[in-house]
Order: sequence, then structure tokens, then C-alpha cells
Amino acid sequence: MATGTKGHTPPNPAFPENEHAVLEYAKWLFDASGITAVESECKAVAKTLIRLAPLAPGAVCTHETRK
Amino acid sequence: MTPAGLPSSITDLRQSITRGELSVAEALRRQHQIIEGDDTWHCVTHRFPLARKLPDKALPLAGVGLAHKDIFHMQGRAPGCGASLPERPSARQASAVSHLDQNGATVLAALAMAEYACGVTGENPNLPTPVNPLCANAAVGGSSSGSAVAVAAELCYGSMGTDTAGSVRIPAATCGIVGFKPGRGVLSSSGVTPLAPSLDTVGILARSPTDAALLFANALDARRRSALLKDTDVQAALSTAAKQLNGKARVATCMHHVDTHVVLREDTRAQIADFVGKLTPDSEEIQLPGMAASSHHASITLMAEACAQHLGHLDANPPLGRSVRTLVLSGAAMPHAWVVRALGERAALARSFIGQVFGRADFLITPVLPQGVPDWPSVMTSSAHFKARALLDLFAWTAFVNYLDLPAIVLPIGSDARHRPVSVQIVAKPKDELRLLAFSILATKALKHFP
Repeated sequence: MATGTKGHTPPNPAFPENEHAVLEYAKWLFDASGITAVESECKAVAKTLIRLAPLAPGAVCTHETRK
Repeated sequence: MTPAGLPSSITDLRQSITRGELSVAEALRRQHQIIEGDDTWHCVTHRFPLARKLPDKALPLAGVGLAHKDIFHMQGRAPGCGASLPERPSARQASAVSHLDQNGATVLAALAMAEYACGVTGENPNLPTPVNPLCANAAVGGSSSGSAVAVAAELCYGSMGTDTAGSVRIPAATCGIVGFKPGRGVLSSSGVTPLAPSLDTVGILARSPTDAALLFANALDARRRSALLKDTDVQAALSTAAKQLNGKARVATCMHHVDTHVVLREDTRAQIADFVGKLTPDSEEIQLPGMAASSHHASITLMAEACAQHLGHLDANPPLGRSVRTLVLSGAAMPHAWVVRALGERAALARSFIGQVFGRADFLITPVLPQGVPDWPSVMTSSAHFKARALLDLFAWTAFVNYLDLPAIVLPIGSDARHRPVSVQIVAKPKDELRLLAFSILATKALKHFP
């Protein structure tokens, strides 16, 4: 689960409308959590999150929802 | 007859042994020889030597050779889990394997699987691609892929696998055999490598529902066995349940998936309708309450819990395969609020589903593979012909059943225009495993292809 940050403000992924923003969110999160992931893996994760987002709480994943 | 020249069903094998036509030693020697010599199907990861001490002939599974998914601690060996791990000894034995052993069964081999059970096909970068005994071009579902292949190829009489989103039922459906998933924890998960503990369920792959019932009853611990069988033997308990159900079982069907991308082949729909018509003239087509939320929450729970299990392996050397990494990374990126909601709504969704579906029917029948058994390239992530939709279709009808923690069985009922198996999934309410098995045995009486 997404918990790790370095205190930076995360990009707003605006689930599920903006694929680019979700991708940036995934990249930011992995970087902040010290997880190494290549571009294609970040894209796969972004696609998964977009697929699952419509039934998830809130259209936007905010800093609070990740706590 | 099996390739070992033995009767195809456990019941017939046991009759041969009890009548003195076949010794336990000879039965096991022939099964061991076949599985030792096999390199056709790519389903075995480790072969165990035969023990010098033979099981007592009177035990219910004496002479019955089994092989299990390589996720169980068994025979002093730690599971390989389809990973790039060195062989390791283990002082543990999975409880369900021990119970089968105590009832006379013999473990012949550990069987191939998707890496760490993270996959709905048998694709595994660490192992040769398993071959479907029915058709080499047809995919083998996962993650208990080796179990389905070994049982379909008649290398063993049955196999235990694990089912987190369909990992017993999907491979069974692709290989035209029976896949039985009881409720979670009904068969002990002690000594089994976890993937997503809230969903993981030990299940049985066999060639007939009768064989599945025999293996299931003999894999239970004493307390559950006593509660299930009420101090009778399994055959008597099944017979009693079958008499009560015969002609009286209420059946509901659902062939319309809530996800409009999941489209059922017309020939599959017709086969299932024909099958249901043979069971009862009064079946009712229903919508499944909360199916979208249950399927959605199943995915979230699986990814979050798989991440918790394997996040520490992300930097392993040799590296994890693509499927495991994708699942773990998705879990790592999952907003915590999604996971809290997925787990928090589980009990209410299950209550609603059970009340609405099993208030009007004893059993629910659904499709398993909406587009039939796919070709390997369409579901192989490393293939240029890979289609994500084909992969998602494989667990569209199974994952929500794990989330709702319902017992379910997959039965082959015929074949489609490509001569690939068509299966149905029969779902029952919690704690109704014995009646589900009895109903499945009744249902297959109309079908002639079971041993």
C-alpha cells in the first residue's frame, strides 16, 4: 500500500481521467518509497490503478487517502 | 485406464486393491514409474522417491498417488513456489498433505505453478511452459497449472492447489477437469506459502467430482471431518445428501457479467443452458448483487496483500518475474483508503449476496471462461499476440467468489466448436461443501465423460 513519502507534495493523479497524471503519481510514489521500477512497470501500475479507480472512494487520490 | 495401466478413478482403483486384483505396491510402482519418466507436459518440478514403508491396504487412499502444487511443505522439502530458489529442506509438512498421507495417499511429485502463485496462467519465466494435454495450442490456466496438467494427463489421481482469485478453478477449466474450492480455511493452510491470506484457499483438482469429494474428505482435519460427515464415511454422507437433493435442488443461473467487456461466447451460453435444462426445468436467471464491487475489492485485496508478502523480494537476485513485480508494484501504489474500504465492505457484501442469491436457490451456476479456453499467445504476457482482455477474462467469473468466501466447483460439461472444454462454475452458500459435491455428482450423471 502507498505509505512512503519524503514529505514532498505528491502529484495529483486525478483518477481515473488523466493517465499521464496517474503515471507521474506512480513514479513519484516509487521514488519516494525507494522502490525501483522501470518505465513499463510504472505504466502497467498506472493502467491498473485507472482500471480500479471508478469504484474506489474519491475520484482523486489525495495525500490524506494514502495515509 | 491411466497411462500406468490402472483404473481411471480412485473408486475403481481402490476396488481393485480391496478385491486383491492389484497390490498397493504394484499400483504405486506403476504410478511412480510414469511420473518419473514423464517429460512431455512440463508440469513436474520435483519427484519424490517412493517410501519403503507402504500404507496399510485398508486405508481409504492406500495405493492412490497424488502430486501437489509446489506451494506446500511436503516430504521434508520446502516449496519452490515456481521461483528461482535453491532446493531447501523443511522440517514442516503442510497439514492437509499430512491428513491425506495419514489416510493412505502417497505424494509422488511437486507440480509447476505461476511464480509465487501470481498469475492466472501457467506462464512462468523460471519454468518451461506447461502443455495442455487436450490441445498443445490451448493455454493452461494458473496458478495451479501443473496440478491441472498432471491430473488431466492422468499422471496422478488428484492434486491440491491454492485458489486466491480462481487459481484452482481456472486451470481446471482450461484442462477439462474438476476444480473444487471450499470455503477459506476449511482445508488447512498451515504449511502453505501465502499470497493473499484473506483470499487464499486450499482446493482440490481431480478428474471427477467423486474423486474430488474423496480427496477433500480425507484432507480435512479431524474436527472438520467429524462436523462435515457426522461420523459416517464420505460415500454414505454423499449418498444421503444426493438423495435429499435429487430432483429438489433449486438452481439459479447468471450468464450476464456486470462488466460489459466480459462477453460470453454464444456456443458456450447454449451449452450451459442445455446443461442447466437437464438438471432442472425451473432454473431462474438472476443478476448477482454487488458483483461489481466484489470483483473490484477482490483485486484490491489481492494486490495489497501480495505486496505485503513480497515487497521485500522486489530487489531479489535473481529478480522476480514480470507478473509478480506488476502485482506487487500495483499493491505498493494502492491508496490505503481503497484497501480499507475493500476489506471493510466484505462482510456486508457477502451477507447481501448470500441472502439474495441463496434465499431463492440452493446453487448458483455461472460460466467460467467466457471466451472459452484461449490460445497460449493471447494470454502469454511475453507474446506479441498478448491481449490484456483475454487475460482479464480468465478470472472475471472467479475472483468475486473468493472475496465473498463461498465454496465453488468447476465442472467440464462438454466442448465448444474448437473441441476445447466448456465448464460451468457451481457456487454454494458457506459451509455447504458436502451438498455442493453431492449436487455435482448428481449433475455429472447426465454427462457421460467422467471416469
